[in-house]
Amino acid sequence: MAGAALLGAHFFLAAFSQAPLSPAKIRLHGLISSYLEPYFTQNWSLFAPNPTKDDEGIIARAKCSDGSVTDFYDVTGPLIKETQEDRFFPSRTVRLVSNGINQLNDSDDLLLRLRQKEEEKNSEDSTTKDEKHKRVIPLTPYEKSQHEDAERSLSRFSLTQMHDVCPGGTGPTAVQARMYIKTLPPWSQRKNPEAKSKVDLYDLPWKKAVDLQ
Amino acid sequence: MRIKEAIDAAASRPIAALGVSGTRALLGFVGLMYYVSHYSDRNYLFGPGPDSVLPHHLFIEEIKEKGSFSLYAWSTSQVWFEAVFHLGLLAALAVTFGVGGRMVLAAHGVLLWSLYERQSAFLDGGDNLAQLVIPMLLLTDCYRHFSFSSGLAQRVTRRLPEGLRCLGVPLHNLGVAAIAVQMCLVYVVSGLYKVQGEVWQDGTALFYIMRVPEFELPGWSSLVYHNDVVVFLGTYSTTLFLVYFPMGILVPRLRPWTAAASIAFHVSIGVFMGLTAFALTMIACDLIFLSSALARARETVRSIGARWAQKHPADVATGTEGETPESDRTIDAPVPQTAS
Repeated sequence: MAGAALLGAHFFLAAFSQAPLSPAKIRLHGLISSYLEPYFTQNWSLFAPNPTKDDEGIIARAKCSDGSVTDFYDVTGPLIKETQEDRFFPSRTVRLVSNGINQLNDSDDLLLRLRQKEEEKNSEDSTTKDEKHKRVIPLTPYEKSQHEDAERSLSRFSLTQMHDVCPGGTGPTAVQARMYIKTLPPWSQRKNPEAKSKVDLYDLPWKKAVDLQ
Repeated sequence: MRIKEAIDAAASRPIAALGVSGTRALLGFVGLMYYVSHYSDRNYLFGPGPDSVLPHHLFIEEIKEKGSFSLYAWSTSQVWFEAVFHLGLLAALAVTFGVGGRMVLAAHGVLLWSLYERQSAFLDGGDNLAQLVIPMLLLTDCYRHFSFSSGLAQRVTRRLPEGLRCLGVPLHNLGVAAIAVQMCLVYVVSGLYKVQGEVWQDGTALFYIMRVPEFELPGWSSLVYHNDVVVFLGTYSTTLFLVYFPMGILVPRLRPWTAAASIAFHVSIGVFMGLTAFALTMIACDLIFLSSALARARETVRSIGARWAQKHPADVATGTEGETPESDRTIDAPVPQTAS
């Protein structure tokens, strides 16, 4: 009986941690996460509510010790090919990229919702139209550090994949990763052979190899 | 009277012992394959050396920030790393084949958690579930089937005082119940979040997800996502199945069908999306709902084996154990309490 009661309490907290954002959840966040983290942490919003739709990845170029800059090297491509060719426990290395890309804009639910509200208000209000892209809520220290960590890990990963791109076999001295987001044609265009994907690029800053160690 | 009977049954009759043994074996196998599939890259992915993709000092920072724990954080020595990694591999192997009992399962849990924490970017829902379910499995008698017994466990149990020993069955049932509730939580939450998503409502989610190169099976996925009817039915049946999963397993009649549907669903995720470990982890946990079906399947296999053995008496391996009939029903007719 005691066991069943403990079990009930445990799953009540676990279920509550998975509930949508609510005032009660914000209030009790500290209490709940201090019990669940790190060993009982869970997240079951698998491919939901909005699943990944786009082809995302990185390409990267390197600076060599003689000062020359290499062409862009496809970092994600070979890994995806490897995963696609192996259906029996494929290597998870490709996740270092997809995880890093997600981490670039990592935030928490509350901030995401506040930003979304701000954006809606801005687009309704025509007088602020030219300032629409001005970020109203500045990035929090947590978001900044997540972004910097992600930049570093993506750059570092690219560097480890590009050991031999420089002439003379010396390792690159710096690396720059470029993230691409290829938005594939939507459902409505699925039968249109002319439909094109839209590619957005986002350049990460140059990172020195020594700083990435 | 019903309640008293239910409590009696919960205290005296282990439920789903066969299923939970299957869960333990399959989870062990998935853990083993985590080691095996990254074996040749282990230094690059998890190692303490300078060629590691996540330098050891950053890993230590991460662990501290989370307030977590990992055996790999204890030392930067290459020897320590190799020792922990190979020990982990052996523990996973032992859990798969049912060697060593629950002590080894506990060790496997700690070692696997340590490896998960070393490269947390690798983790998905399957690993999350495995990490939660292994402690629950420790409560259960998950070595009753599919295992080699050294006899040590039995000797230890015999020495235990009576009062402690008779806690075995209630604890087992508690562990099984915990896994069942956990599975319901996983499926219902993931179902309810899907219901809120635009593409899930439109019935086009399958189309979008299966096109993402990371989750695509070239040549085959397009056959699915170019078929409008399959996309619609697949998307809607996914959410319906997930949301109604608890109902499906609470009704004993529906239970094996629900579990079978879940297994079919996860087999297709494994094949089409390349998420082998995730799919097999989910399937492993679904096995607890299939205990009686598994028992029946095993009986069939045995009788076929026996018939075959009668025809070929030369090479018989006699190995029929005396088994109690399997049941995954919580509430059955009250049984007279024996030996407690």
